[in-house]
Amino acid sequence: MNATLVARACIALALLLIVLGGAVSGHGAVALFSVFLGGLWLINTFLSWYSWSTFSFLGLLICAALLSVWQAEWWALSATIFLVSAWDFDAFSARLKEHHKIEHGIEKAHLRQIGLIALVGFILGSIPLVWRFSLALSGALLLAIILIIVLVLSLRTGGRTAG
Amino acid sequence: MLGRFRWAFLGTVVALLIVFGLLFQKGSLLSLAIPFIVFLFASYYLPFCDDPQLRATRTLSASRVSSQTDVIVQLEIKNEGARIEEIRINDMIPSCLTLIDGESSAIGVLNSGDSIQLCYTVHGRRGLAQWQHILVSYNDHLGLRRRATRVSCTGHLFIMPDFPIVYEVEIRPRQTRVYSGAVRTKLGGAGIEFFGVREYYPGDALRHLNWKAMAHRDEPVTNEFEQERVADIGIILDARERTEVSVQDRSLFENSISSASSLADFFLAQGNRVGLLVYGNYIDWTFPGFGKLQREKLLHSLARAELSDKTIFENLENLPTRLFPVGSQLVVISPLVEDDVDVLVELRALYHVIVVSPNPILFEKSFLPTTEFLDLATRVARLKREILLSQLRQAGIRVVDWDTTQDLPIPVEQALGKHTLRHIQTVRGSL
Repeated sequence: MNATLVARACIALALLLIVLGGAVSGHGAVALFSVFLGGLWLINTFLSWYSWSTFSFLGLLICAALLSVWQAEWWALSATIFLVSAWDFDAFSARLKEHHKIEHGIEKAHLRQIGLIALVGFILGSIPLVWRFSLALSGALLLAIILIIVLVLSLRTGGRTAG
Repeated sequence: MLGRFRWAFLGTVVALLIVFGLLFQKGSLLSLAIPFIVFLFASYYLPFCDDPQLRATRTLSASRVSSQTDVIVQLEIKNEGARIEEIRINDMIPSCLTLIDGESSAIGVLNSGDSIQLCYTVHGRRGLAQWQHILVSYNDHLGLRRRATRVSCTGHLFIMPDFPIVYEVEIRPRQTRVYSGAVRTKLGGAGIEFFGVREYYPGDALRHLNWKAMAHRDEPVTNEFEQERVADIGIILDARERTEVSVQDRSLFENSISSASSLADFFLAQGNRVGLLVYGNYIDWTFPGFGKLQREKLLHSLARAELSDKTIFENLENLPTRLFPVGSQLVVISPLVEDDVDVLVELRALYHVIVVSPNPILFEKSFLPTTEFLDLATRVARLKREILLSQLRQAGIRVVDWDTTQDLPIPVEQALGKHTLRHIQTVRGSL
């Protein structure tokens, strides 16, 4: 198994889902723009220009977010799952390339963990799409504040442990 | 690559998706934030080894080699603590070595009790290669929680200077030691070379009777031989930056090191007591001694020798002459600059001095394309140098002007050989 191949496969799948989502929702321009960004990202993986992958990832994520706004939520969620996986595998293959020796098993272990996280992410992410409920503005604001506080606390702790 | 900012990046993405989701009242945007939140929380809650217990062992195939000889380095890193999801190991190869084969870094999963082995081949130029520690960084699979540490794992490799073997250097110091050796002392006694004849005393060996002289003088006459003893020899290696010439990664100083090694090897092989002073960085003094152990000490010292530009050692004036016994033989190895003449002439008053001078002009010229101007410049520079060397010769210092394109033994034996010394002494009338 090769981490770069997995990253390329994930990029291609995410790109395909965004293009299909764009076609289904009737927004060809987004599909075209995502093809450009995805192509750029794929080229970067061949040239080992890892610093550009984050920009391509962000661009494609914005495309997916636009699709989710334009009633192609399932396409967008699936594409996001593959985008996160592609971004992570791209960084992972960059770490692997810095070293002469790669111990057997690390790539499989990484794939297993990312696969599990992607699956859980997809299941949890699909809940709001399946189970819809209306929220008052005050409730929405309260939820937003709580989420942001939890996130900031989590980030602070995470930042400390990130070293 | 975001490195340690991956946390901040993902957090910002999540925050933006939530804010926009709430702002536009789109649950689908909130749903896009969920995979990222899962990613962040997974990293935080999955087990992570905060304090790894690592033990590293290094094995070298040799601890002392000549330059450009391959050495195999084996490194084993054992995990004596909890499992590490992703460990990255980087062995810091000393700058004087070049990796020619194998792996000096690795990445992998390290279970408790398991180990990672690295094996690589290096070679290098003269010097002391020292390994201090290995760099270890480890993180979770998602690359969000990271740590870096250094694991002590020492090792050292002496890369000895390459040197040609010199077969003949004739020296005549004023003072010698009592032990018999190879330095002629101008004193009659036991030896090999004929020195003269004297009256026979009872107890003299009958086989040394000179029958022809006895027939002339009509009394018993015995042959005397020149005593040969060991001498104190101090080698002074000039390591001043100002005398250095380096072109295309080739250094004149390496030639000085090579000649110092050759001469030290020769003098020790003759049974002499040899000390070494590397003049440049600090007073790097190897106390005089005899034999193979001393040879090893001198070679180690020469392997470590480095150039220095310290102001205090800019001139030879601060040469610690007290280290050398008066009347002993000094061998100064230096490309020489104009200021050095006076100091060397003063040294000549107390010691027998030999100067081996790698020629910096010819050294530099050998790397430059030949042009009319280069020839003219070389001629001017050589004339200037010739004046400098003739001042030393006039003071009775024996000088080897070494064209470094030639092997060292040729100019050394031409300038310091037995016949040359005899010729000089005949000219001076001291034979």
